[in-house]
Amino acid sequence: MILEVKNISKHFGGISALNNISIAVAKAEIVGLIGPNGAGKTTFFNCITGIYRPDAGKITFGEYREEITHFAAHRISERGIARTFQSARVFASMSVLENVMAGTFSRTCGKLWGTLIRSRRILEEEEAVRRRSEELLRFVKLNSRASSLASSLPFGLQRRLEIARALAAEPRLLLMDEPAAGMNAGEKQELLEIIRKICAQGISILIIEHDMKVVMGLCQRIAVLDSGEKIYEGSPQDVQSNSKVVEAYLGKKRDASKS
Amino acid sequence: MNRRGIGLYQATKKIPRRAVNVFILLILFALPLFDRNQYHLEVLVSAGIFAILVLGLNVMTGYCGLLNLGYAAFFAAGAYTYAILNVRFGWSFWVSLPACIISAGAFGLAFGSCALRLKGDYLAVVTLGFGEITRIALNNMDSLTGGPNGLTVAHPALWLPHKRLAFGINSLPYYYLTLLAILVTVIIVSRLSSSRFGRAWIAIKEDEVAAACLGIHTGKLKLLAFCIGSALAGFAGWLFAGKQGFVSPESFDFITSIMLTAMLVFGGMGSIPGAIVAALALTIIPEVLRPLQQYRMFFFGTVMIVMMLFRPQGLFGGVRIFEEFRPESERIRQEEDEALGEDLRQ
Ligand SMILES: Nc1ncnc2c1ncn2[C@@H]1O[C@H](COP(=O)(O)OP(=O)(O)OP(=O)(O)O)[C@@H](O)[C@H]1O
Ligand SMILES: [Mg+2]
Repeated sequence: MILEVKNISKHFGGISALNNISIAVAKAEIVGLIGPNGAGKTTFFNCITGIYRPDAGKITFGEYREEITHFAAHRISERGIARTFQSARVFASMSVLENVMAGTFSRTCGKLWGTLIRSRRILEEEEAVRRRSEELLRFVKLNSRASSLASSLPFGLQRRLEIARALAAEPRLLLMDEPAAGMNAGEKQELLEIIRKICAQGISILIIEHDMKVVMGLCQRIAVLDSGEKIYEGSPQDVQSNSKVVEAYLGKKRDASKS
Repeated sequence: MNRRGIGLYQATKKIPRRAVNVFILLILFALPLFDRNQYHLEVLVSAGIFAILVLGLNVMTGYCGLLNLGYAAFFAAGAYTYAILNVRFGWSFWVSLPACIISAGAFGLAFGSCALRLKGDYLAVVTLGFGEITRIALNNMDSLTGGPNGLTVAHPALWLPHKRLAFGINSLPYYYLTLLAILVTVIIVSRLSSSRFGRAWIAIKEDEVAAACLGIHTGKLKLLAFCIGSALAGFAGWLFAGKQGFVSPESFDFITSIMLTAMLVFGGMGSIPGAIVAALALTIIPEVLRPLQQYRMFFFGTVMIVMMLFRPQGLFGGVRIFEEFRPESERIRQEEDEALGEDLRQ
């Protein structure tokens, strides 16, 4: 297991957004996280990536099960967890290529002095960063837009840019928050392909998604959240027949004898 | 993408741009040959010092998004460092330079490490207060700073093989010194801008959470931007003190800070040519309008309002594009947009 989340809880005032959630992700596994709106999925991601501090519980990451529960966000990213956001958060005033280059920050070590005197090492590193970023743009099929302003991309492409940027940070685990939202069928198909390829590189993926076609097509395992509780974990085939899950999405069936 | 195509384009694109820069530089170097008017040069030197300040402010505000309404305090740190070292310890102008940069940078580091816990408007208010406190402190520490009377300091001088060339009150040597200083500052700032640090700063300005999730230590990088911005202000302060031959607290008041911010906004946040052009324009235009001196602030206000209405991103609005890719990508992009359109029609 590369990521192990044990019994984490998170409250906002009176609301219990997460209650005793445990999820584990293995190496090169794709795990789906689904649930109705407000179930706490994004909050769960925010707890893992250090944006929120969980009130209780423990998060460990990596082969040596290092505890990262209270790490700052940048340290968690350095350990190898990258993410995309529900509302694509690209750096609007930068070019598409620069967005990806910005993602390599923690994997480069150029120092200030070297930057000012343009030392050879800096130039080489910069060239490597650029090549790597172009490669990642090709990977998400955005290379033709390398020089466009990131904010000028349509939403669907911004999501792909976010993926490339996250990959630039060389993650071992990628968290994706509704990557297919707002995409048309063709774009979704491309996205599926990209995600499969990422997984084939040995990167584990935890993905929040509402589109069941995407979830079914990708995930080996699915966890369902509802009002901060984990109500199901298992194979995607069984999830649709699980009464609790159906209830969470469609509401309780009226008992015929009572009416 | 076609590699050779990029290479070719880079080659044809880069030469003219560099040529333009060299051309502008040549004109600036040759300018005093055609115009020896002391007053004109004097105004240009002031504008040049402002340009350095705006470039420094650009690092913290333009790139990293740290609003600073007390930037004059760091300008003062540099100027007073030279003044005090010169008056009390007899240090010469040139020897004081590293001390001025370091003291202003350290000042920024110390203040930044406390103030950068705040964000946005709150940071602006605290820096505003800090700027005023610094000025008041300089006004009251009579024994060290001479209080409101200020300090009279030595002008710089050069030792040529046969004689000592004192700069004195002749504007010409300061003109060249300032030009050189701007050149150095532009090189520093542009190298930073296109480095991993520049990208990280802009990432922080655009979206701090996303930046942190990419492994950028936002606290440390903000402090770095703050510190470098302050150090550049110290550099400008050193130049200013040497040129004026006199420093007093009133040169570093709130209005100065506001004017610098106005110049930054006017030129466009994050733009190096913008910073320079704005510093020149907003120094020279009020000089031209000298008869209307008392309307100066009114003029600034009007310019800012008009700017906000018609060009909120400033003259050279902050767009960072790698020009190298343009033509090729533009074509593919059009094709792509057309294909996308077909997708939608189906
Ligand atoms: N910062 C916050 N402060 C207060 N309440 C919050 C905060 N963040 C989330 N919540 C609450 O926590 C609950 C879970 O929110 P969350 O965004 O995690 O849901 P979600 O499963 O991602 O929903 P969606 O499918 O709409 O994205 C919601 O009731 C939300 O209002
Ligand atoms: Mg969500």
